[in-house]
Amino acid sequence: MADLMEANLTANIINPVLEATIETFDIMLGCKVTRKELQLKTRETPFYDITAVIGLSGGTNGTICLSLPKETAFEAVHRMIEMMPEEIDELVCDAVGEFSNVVGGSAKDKIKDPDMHLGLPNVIYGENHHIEFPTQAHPMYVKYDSDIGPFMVLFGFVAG
Amino acid sequence: MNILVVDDSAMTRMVAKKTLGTLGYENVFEGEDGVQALEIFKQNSIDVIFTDWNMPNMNGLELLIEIRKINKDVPIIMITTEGSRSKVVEAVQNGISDYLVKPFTPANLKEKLSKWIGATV
Repeated sequence: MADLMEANLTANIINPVLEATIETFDIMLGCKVTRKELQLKTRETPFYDITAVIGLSGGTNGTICLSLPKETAFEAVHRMIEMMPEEIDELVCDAVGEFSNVVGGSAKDKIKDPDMHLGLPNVIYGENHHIEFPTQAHPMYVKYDSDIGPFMVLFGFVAG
Repeated sequence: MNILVVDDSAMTRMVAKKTLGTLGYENVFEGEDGVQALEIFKQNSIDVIFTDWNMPNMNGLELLIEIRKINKDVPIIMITTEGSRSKVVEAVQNGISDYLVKPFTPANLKEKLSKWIGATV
C-alpha cells in the first residue's frame, strides 16, 4: 500500500516536471525537445557529465536532477551568450544550475502544492558521479533528444 | 538610461545584459547580490532595477526595502521563478513595481521596460 501511495505521488509530479522541462528549454534556448519514455531509475542508471540537483521540501519531499553531457551543456551556454565553453567551468555550472532552478520553479507552480519549498540548486560534475534519492522514493528518469544534444531529467518524491 | 541587473547567477546577468543590449540599452550595471547592488545604486543614477529574489548576503526583498528607504520612485522589477509567485505579494507590500517570471523572452523584458520607462518619464 505504501509503495502504491509513493508511486502515485511520483506520478502526480511527473507531468508538471516534464512540461516545465520542455517549456524551459524552449523559452531559454529556443530549443525544441523530444522526450523518450519514462523509466525507473536504478543504481546502475548512469548520469551524464554534469548534473544539477534541486530539492523540493514541505508537503512533498524530493529531488529533481537535470543531467547533461558536457557537449549539450556547452551548446546551451553558447546559445545563451554566444560563447562556446571549452571545459566545464564556473559559467557552465552556473548555467546548468539556473536551468534546473527554472525547471524546478516552473514545476512547483504546476504541482500547486502551497507547502512545497524549492531549494537552491547544487551542481555536480565528473565521470561516474552518482546521486542518491530519498529513501522510499521511486526515482524515475526521462531522456530527451534536442537540437543541442541529449539530456535527461531524474526525479523522485516521498510524502512529507 | 542606466539599468541595474541583480542576480547571483552570472549566466542570468549575462543573458539579461545581452538581451538589453539587443533592445538598445547599453548602460547595464550588474550586481551579484543585494549588498553589491545597493552600493551600485548609491553611487550611480539608476533608472530601472531588475532583481532576483533568492541571493546570498542580501536577498531581493531586503534590497527592495533598503532602496525604498532612500528612493521611493525608481522602478524595481523582481525576476522570479513561477514557484516563487507567492512571494510577489510580500514584495508588493514592500514597494516592488512589477515582476518578471523566469524563463522570460526578450519580448517580456521589453514589455516591462516600456511600461516602466514610460512611467518614469
